[in-house]
Amino acid sequence: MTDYELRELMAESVQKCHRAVFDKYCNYVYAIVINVLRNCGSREDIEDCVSDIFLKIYKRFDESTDFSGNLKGFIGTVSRNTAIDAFRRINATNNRFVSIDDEIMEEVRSDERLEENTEKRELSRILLGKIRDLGEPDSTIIIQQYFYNRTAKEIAKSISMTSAAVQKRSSRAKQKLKALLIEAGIGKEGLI
Amino acid sequence: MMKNDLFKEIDDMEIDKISQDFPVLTDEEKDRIFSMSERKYNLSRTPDENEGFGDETVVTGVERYKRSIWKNYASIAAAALLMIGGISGSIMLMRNGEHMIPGTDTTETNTENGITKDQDKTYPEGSREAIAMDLSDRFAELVNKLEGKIDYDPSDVLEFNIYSFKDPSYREGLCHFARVSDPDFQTPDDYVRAIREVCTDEFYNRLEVDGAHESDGINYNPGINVKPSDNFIIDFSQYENGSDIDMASYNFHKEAYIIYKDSLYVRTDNLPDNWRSHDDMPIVTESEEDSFRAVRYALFSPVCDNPYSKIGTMLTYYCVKENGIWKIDNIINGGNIEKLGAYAISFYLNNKDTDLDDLNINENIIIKDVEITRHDFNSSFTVHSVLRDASGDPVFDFTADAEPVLPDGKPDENGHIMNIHIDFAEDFNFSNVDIKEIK
Repeated sequence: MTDYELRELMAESVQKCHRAVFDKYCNYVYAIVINVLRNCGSREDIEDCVSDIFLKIYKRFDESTDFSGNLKGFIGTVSRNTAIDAFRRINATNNRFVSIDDEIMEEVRSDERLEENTEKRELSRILLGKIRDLGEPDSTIIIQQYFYNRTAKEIAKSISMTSAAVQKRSSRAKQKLKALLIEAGIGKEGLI
Repeated sequence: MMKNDLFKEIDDMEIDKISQDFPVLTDEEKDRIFSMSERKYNLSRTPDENEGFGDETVVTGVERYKRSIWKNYASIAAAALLMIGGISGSIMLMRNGEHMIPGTDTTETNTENGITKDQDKTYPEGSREAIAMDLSDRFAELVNKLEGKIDYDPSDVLEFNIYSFKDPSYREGLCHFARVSDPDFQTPDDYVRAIREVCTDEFYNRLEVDGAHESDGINYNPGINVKPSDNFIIDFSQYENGSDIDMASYNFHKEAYIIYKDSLYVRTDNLPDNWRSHDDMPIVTESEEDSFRAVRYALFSPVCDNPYSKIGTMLTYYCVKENGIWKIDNIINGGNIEKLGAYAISFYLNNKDTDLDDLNINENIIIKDVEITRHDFNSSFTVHSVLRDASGDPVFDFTADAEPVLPDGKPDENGHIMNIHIDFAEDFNFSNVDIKEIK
């Protein structure tokens, strides 16, 4: 979505613009947020955080901010930062003292550490590639289960299978993925 | 396989691809979140709240953390354990008897295998237990010290505003550093000296020079992957107290310590309210004339990576005599037992035939819910947790005895199963499973 398209939509209807941006980027934002809050936030925390992010984005629209054609980049940055704030807040609420060296925090400015990220990027690529190699519906099951923290019942509903079938497929897919990763020579540490 | 760690190293680009190729939000969820954001937006447009949405309300970025080299260099084993992270630590399953959880009282507890445990017990001077307790306590103290647990002079404080001059949204903000007053810790060298008094030269040098994650796919030995560097510690002497500092002007690491005009300063922002150490007594599992092993559960961060932990992370201290002095020669991290408990429950929900399948139970157990009420050094334990639904509401109360079944689960001649990655637990044996509905 370009700045021009954004302005056009804003001129037509603010809410329509909001909805269009939301529909286009909600899955992207949700994926970023869940990657940060997966292990500490409830589903409600995650949705709350996603809505906070869109609030911030909408308010930037009001300010006629120039996104220089990189709206997605802007959304990604706001998403990561907001998710990290939520991560801190949730942990503070839970009386958890969070060391700033938490792995989650390490991700934030990772784009500035290109050298260190090269390996990580390669591992990520291999991991996702191996998950794709599982074939459908196993790839979707693994992603939904492990990346999105979805329950077997939710997954079952989304791919029109029974919960029991999802669990069985998941169990087999996990074993297969484990073998594929070891075959790929990347071990498990750092990934799993 | 630990589901919540599978994607912990996922790259941003891959997250984007996942969001495109595996979108997960249902229409219902989209509508709900969109409505929430619109409601917040409309509320935010009241006159009072419509002000000030400038850079200051944009969430602050966080600089990628990298432990400063000098601290890694100095802390050795502390940093080694830091690198383990998550539940991915290896486990050492001890078959040496029941380990009762310390309760509020500190009365003596006799176990079926005859191991006696007493929180207030003191061991005879020179005994293996006394040595293990001394070394492990000193080790914990040094790790805590590295994290900022140190005496300081509250009247001698520096303040710097640290952010990226290029992009002020990335900022650490106001940072306060107080001058260290601990007479035994005035320079980084003092710390190196202290850690070398606890660790053998071999352990120190191995981690200092070769530190690494050694793995053959299953066996996993934690190490550190840092090497000594001249870049021991950042000196802020060039900056006036109270000045702004560009994060880009040096390699910012969220320092716990800085040097300022030849003095050591500790950062006083965000220090934890309570510093934890060990909450149990060491159990000596093997003893020779010049060496022994002892097990203790660590509660200190970052070795214990679960802040909700009440039992802790199992550490096996390998101690040897070096030039007539007992020192730590290796430390094996056995993983955090509450995380292991969470994994076991999740495994149960995923793999065991249960009537819970159709009840929308979220099998991703929240670690803070998990409580271990009995354990046998990670090899079996009683775990309790609430089970929540997809909305996060507690719906069931779960208690079970669990025993991990490992691919190569035969204990060695000492009764130990070493370095088995808990992710490779093929199964758990469950008994006394008790699931009660929460009304």
